[in-house]
Amino acid sequence: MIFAVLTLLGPLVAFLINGLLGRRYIKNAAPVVAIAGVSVSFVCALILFYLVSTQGFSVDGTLYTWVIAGSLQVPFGILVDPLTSIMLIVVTTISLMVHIYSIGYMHGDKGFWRFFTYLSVFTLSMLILVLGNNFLMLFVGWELVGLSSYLLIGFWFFKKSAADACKKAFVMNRIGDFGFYIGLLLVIFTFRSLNYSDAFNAEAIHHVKETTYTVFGMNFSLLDLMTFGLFCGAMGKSAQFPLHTWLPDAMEGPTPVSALIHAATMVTAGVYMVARCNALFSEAHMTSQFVIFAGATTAFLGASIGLTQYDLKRILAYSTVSQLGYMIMATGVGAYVAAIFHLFTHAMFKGLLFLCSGSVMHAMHDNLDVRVMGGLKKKMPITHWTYLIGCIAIAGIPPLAGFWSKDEILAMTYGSGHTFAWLVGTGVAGMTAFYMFRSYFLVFQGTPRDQHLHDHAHESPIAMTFPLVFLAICSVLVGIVFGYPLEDGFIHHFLGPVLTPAHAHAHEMAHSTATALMALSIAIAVAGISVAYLFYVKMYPVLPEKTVKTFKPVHKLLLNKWYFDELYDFLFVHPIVMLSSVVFWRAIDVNVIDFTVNAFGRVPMWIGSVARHIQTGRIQTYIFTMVVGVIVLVAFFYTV
Amino acid sequence: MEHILSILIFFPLAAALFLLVFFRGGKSTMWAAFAASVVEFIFTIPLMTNFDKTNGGMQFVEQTWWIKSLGIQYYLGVDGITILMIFLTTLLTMIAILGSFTYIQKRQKEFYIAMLVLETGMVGTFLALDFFLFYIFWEAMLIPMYLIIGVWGGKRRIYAAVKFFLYTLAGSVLMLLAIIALYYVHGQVTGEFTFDILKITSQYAAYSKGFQMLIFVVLFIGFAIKVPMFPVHTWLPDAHVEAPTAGSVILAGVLLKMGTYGMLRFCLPMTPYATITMMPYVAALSVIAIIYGALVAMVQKDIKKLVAYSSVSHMGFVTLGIYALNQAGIEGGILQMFNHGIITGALFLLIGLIYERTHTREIADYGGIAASVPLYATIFLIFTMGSIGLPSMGAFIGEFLVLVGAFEAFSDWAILAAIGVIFSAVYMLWMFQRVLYQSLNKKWENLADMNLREVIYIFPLLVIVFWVGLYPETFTSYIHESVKQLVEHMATAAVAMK
Repeated sequence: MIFAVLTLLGPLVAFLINGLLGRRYIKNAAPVVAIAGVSVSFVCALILFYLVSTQGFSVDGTLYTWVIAGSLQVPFGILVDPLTSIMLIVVTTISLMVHIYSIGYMHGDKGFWRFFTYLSVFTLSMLILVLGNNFLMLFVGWELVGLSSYLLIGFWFFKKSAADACKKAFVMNRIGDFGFYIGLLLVIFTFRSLNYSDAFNAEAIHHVKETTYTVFGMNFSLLDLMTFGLFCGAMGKSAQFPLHTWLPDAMEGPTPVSALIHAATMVTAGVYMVARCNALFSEAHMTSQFVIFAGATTAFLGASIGLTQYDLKRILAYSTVSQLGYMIMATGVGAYVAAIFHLFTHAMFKGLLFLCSGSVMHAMHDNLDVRVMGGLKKKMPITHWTYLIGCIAIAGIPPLAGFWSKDEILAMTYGSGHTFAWLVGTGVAGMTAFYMFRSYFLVFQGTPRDQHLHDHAHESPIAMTFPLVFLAICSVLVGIVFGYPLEDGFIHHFLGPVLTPAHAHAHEMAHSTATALMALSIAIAVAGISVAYLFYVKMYPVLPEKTVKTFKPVHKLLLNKWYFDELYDFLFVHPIVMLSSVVFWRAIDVNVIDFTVNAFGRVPMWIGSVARHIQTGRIQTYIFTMVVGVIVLVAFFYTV
Repeated sequence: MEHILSILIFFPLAAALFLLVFFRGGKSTMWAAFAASVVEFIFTIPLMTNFDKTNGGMQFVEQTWWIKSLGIQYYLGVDGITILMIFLTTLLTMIAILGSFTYIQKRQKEFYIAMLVLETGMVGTFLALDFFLFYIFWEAMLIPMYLIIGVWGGKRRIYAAVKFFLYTLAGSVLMLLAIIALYYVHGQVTGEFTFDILKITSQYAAYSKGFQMLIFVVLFIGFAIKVPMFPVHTWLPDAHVEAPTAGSVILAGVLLKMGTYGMLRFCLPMTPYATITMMPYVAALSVIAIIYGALVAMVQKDIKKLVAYSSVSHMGFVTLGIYALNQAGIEGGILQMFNHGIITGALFLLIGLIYERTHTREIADYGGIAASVPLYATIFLIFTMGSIGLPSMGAFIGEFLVLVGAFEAFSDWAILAAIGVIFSAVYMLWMFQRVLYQSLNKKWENLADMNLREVIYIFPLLVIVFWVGLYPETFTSYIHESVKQLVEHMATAAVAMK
């Protein structure tokens, strides 16, 4: 318990110190404070991992009762189990590396201290997310990482594009959170508690398996509805189709942020959540189908767009979208261990790739267009080698990290009978290999396309290259260390107990099939790389140009990201703004309601203005009126 | 401690008289008024600490005859529902006065007198347990507020003040009718003619269903105007935009809560049959307010108007929670009343202090000022996020409780209400972006950041926002018992109804 609390306290204290004293007193010493904070978390995470893996240590405790809602009590509670401890390792490792990297990368920025303050907020939020022992804690972390993401994407807030992007990210996430909220309410409705221990109780779940729930007059299976709601949150946070459009825009943030938040940790929160709720998801068959659909679609969409982009960071961003699709797809087919394993390896190599892109950006004077780069391998040897390692890892060439986890996802998908999803996944693997090596060849190989920029290029300082080397080593090793032998490695034994739903159908796959699948996925990766080599080294720039010409409409569609942004603007943004502005405000508020109210004001004034003519102040008129009145009255009484 | 409630009510009035006689305006008046409001706030501290949280009934009761022949008493008391409102009132009045030092430039003395008289009216309204007394305080509150908008307001202040007055007066008249009707019917039923709120409440079972429905509708419309609920909300944007900062703070922070307080104290317990029948309709109106308010807020061009419409949306959550008629919902509603007071109050203060420097409230006139006023930007961001309902801040807890309660009572409406969490992010962040982010408008390059006085008056609100968010029990512990009684009362009535 003490270590878990310390894990949270490190970044919290760092945040408070930097936040309160940063501007005036700490200034350029802010990274010292922030790194000290995250180091505490890192050390605690290692200790917890050691304790959990060797002694079966676990914590499920309450710090204090946080919210009391009638009979419902929600604690501020902490849970440490194998899944948490793996996530802690991922979060704190990448966070620490990014902190160190940022010293070099953000050097000289006006908001230096502010950047590190935000990083501490993020680390804290992410740790709350993974350490909580109930859904509300998860939601708190969930929303707070959203806030940190908002702050960090909008770090250079004076750029309109950054300000737009951070708002878009927050709002898109909120759309998902709406579903998440409904999921939460259904969890309360079903289990009368928000604690994981109550909600993931096999008996309780068995009890409600057949229950239906009525929403707007329609009947749904309770579990399907609940998990679908929760999954909406995951679609927002993990940028799944159709809520994926915010992630590429989030690249407006500083590159270390892209590495930490928008590649390695925050965006994988959705995967973590689904894995955490595996007891619920594995019983919700409709939702699972949808999860597979969303995951596979996202994997394909991301990869297809990635093929055509020219902005280095955007290529990586779409690659992230695509890889997240893999993980989500894995959770859909019930391969939770494989999903978390891929999350783990992906964090290492994608974090590495992003940091490399930052290093390139640094050398290229913030230029990100791959068309002006080329031939950087001599100028930036460390960045070059580490980027290459990252590319091999993501492409799925053994024995690097990506191979083990990706192959497992594909094998499990195939094994569970989702052949179409497997086919998509395998195709995407080839595309991934292609576009990653496309970027590698364009940036590092060949001849410089902008001599001026090239002349000024230089390798980055040690603060930036150290994290690159560290993560490159991780990218090489984590797969084989944790995942070998396939489906029977350390990570499987470690996570198996928490991530294997009670009824898990053991998919006995023939040894030969497994080997064939493995061989196929290696072959696909090699093919992707070879095609990239052919296009961007051997026959550059003739072949790519020719291909673009031949498939012009397709290329345009992909280059414009399938026109999702335009579609959403057309379908949702403009109509809602018009409806609010023209109908609700101008028509109803101003013209109907206020007109009525003003009319109520005008009637007495009109009566007054008429009645005014009676009071003229002339005696003759009064006497005349009086006489007439008397006559009328007398006549009236006599006649009646 | 015996007469603490009387002291709380009449101390500001006495201070106002003192100001009237001994001061001539200028700096000394401001400080004297501020000192009075601080003393008033300090009076609430023993009230809070000596309050018995395990007792859901009225405490610190003061009761004597006033006009015995008509059954009118001087009858005061405080329970869990009101105590937080008292705290909010004295806190916000103090802050609003400190926030007016540089904003109010003309007729300073009169302004501070109006503020203190207003405080007496507000505290009195919350504490009165006699209908007649309640009505007097209710009306007494209206006049200083009308003056604050009409005298110290912006360009269209007369229109706004008259509109405010007419709307509220319509509500008051309806309420008066209901009070007189209740007085007579209670008299006929029991033979005792009294304005005693608790006695009238306790006889609810004797009122026919038709009569309850009539009273409910009349009272409800009266209070709905104050909340304000759709479609009687259009006075709010005008009143807010034209009112000076202090006026907006008090208006949003306290006066709107009078409506929901009235519902809690009168509509629910006095006419439970009608309340239970009308529950779904009120829920529907609340949801309309939540979504409609948010959408209209989104397209506003004036920052203050935007926040005003957002109040319509947020108060929709309050009514939704209250009419869920269960523990979580009502507690959430009350907590949300409190949170809305704190957060919206802070937002109005922040808008006011930047208006003092720029003399514009048009969103389009701003842009990028986060670069020139970083501290301001940070604090503005915190309250923006608070308003959106970010966890770790108060409004999240309130909304969560409301949604939990509402989901139990009418799940479909709760689902629709939850859409509000999307729209609140849209309009607040869009405004935030256009005002503080993007490229810096050259005009505001040398804008001065918040000064010490401004930081001091925002600070308590900042602390409370996080306090409620991280440890809400400090505040909700006051309301548990009273709400429990109310819920039990409604449950008994529901059983009797069948």
